[in-house]
Amino acid sequence: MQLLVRLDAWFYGSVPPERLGLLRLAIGGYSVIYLLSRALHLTAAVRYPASSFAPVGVANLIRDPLPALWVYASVAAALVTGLLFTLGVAYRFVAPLFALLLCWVMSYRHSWGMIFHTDNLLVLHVALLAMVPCADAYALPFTRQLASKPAIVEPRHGWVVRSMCLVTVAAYLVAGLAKIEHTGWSWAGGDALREQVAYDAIRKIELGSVYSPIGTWLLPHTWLFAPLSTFALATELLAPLALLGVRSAAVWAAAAWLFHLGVLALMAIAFPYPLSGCAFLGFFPLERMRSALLARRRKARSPRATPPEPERAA
Amino acid sequence: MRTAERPRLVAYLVGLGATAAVLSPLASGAADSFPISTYTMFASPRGQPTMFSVVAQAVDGSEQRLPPALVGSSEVLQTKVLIQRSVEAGPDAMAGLCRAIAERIAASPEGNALRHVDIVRRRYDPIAYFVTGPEPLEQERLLRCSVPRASSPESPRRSSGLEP
Repeated sequence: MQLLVRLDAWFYGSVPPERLGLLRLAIGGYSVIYLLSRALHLTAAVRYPASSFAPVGVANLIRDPLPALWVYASVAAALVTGLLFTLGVAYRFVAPLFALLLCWVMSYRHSWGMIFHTDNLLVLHVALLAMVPCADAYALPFTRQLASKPAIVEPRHGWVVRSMCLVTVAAYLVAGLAKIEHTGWSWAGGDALREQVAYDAIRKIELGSVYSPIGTWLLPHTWLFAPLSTFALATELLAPLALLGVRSAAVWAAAAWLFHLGVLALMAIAFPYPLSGCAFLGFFPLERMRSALLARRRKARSPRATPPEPERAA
Repeated sequence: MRTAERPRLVAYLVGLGATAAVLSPLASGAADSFPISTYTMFASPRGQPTMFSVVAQAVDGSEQRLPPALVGSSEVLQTKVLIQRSVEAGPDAMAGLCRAIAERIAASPEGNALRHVDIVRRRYDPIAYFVTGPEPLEQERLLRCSVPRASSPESPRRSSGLEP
């Protein structure tokens, strides 16, 4: 019973509006930059043959590809609402709309036979943030007011941050368990990863794309792949440890970030959301980290107290 | 239920529901989707995969890989699917893809240096490719079409084997 009370206190605990505001700024800002940088890829579907259309997720609502104008309009609308979401403008209406548009745009992009796994957490995190008011702090119209107001603790909305952590952990756990299910514990032995690195490089060479020279350079060094595989698998399977506290979350987030850096180095496959760090922000007390950072900066900028000059002897 | 308890119930339903949805492929065995995924991208051994690709034959007889944008997508993995689907759809779909690529090549700066476009199937041993040499275990040309010239556009023709 006491365990349930503690779990409830953790899940439904209080979170200051500053944390929600910082999460909105970081994840919303990331979304806008990502949408802008991927705009060409997101709209490339207008040139694909209709026969390649294989809808996934919410794109299952349609049977045939959208007209080009709708594709361009949906990406543009996602960009505009993403910007408003980040700035906290009309959040109550804009946030759910942005979450839906982001999910739609990404689902449509993945509906051409190849499902990428780089955007799943972003879409889920934005959808969760859209469910509670995240614009009570650091939002455009209120920034100045709140600067002089003490933080208002809002106990109802901490669950969104906890839910973001839970879905993050769940996604890594599923990835780890998928390896055990498909290959068994031998995945940690390194052969599967080595084969995967080689396969990925050939595929890219055959398709005239950029592959990782680091990965192919390491392939003859068989012994290296066992520790790399063990590290990757441990990072995924031990993800639930990140829920134990800020320290364990920091260790796990660092491991997960290194894991993605390794994937980038060995296979030239970027997972930009975790690599940016945004995927892990929910685990940390951002408002306290920001205050500590600002205090340190103020201290560094303030003029140092000068020692009194020694009196001269008469 | 008291009105005050309703937000708590909604929070649990949404938070735990979202988590359960992310975990659900473990129990349901459902196919990969978005944003709920099976995350099987690096999970299975690759063995000796068969790959379909599009290459160009230069005027001097050498083979050149084509960048994904010339094949039809700016993204490499989507390009792979585009080729694979065309092959699976049969000769007409392959011919359509081949012709479209040849026309894009003709309009590009490389157009003059390239003579043919080949859709090929090759099977590799991925490790051997980099450790011993890049020769495929098997290969077959599925279709060849010519890069159109302003004066003599050619239509695609089928081929059953690789030319020497």
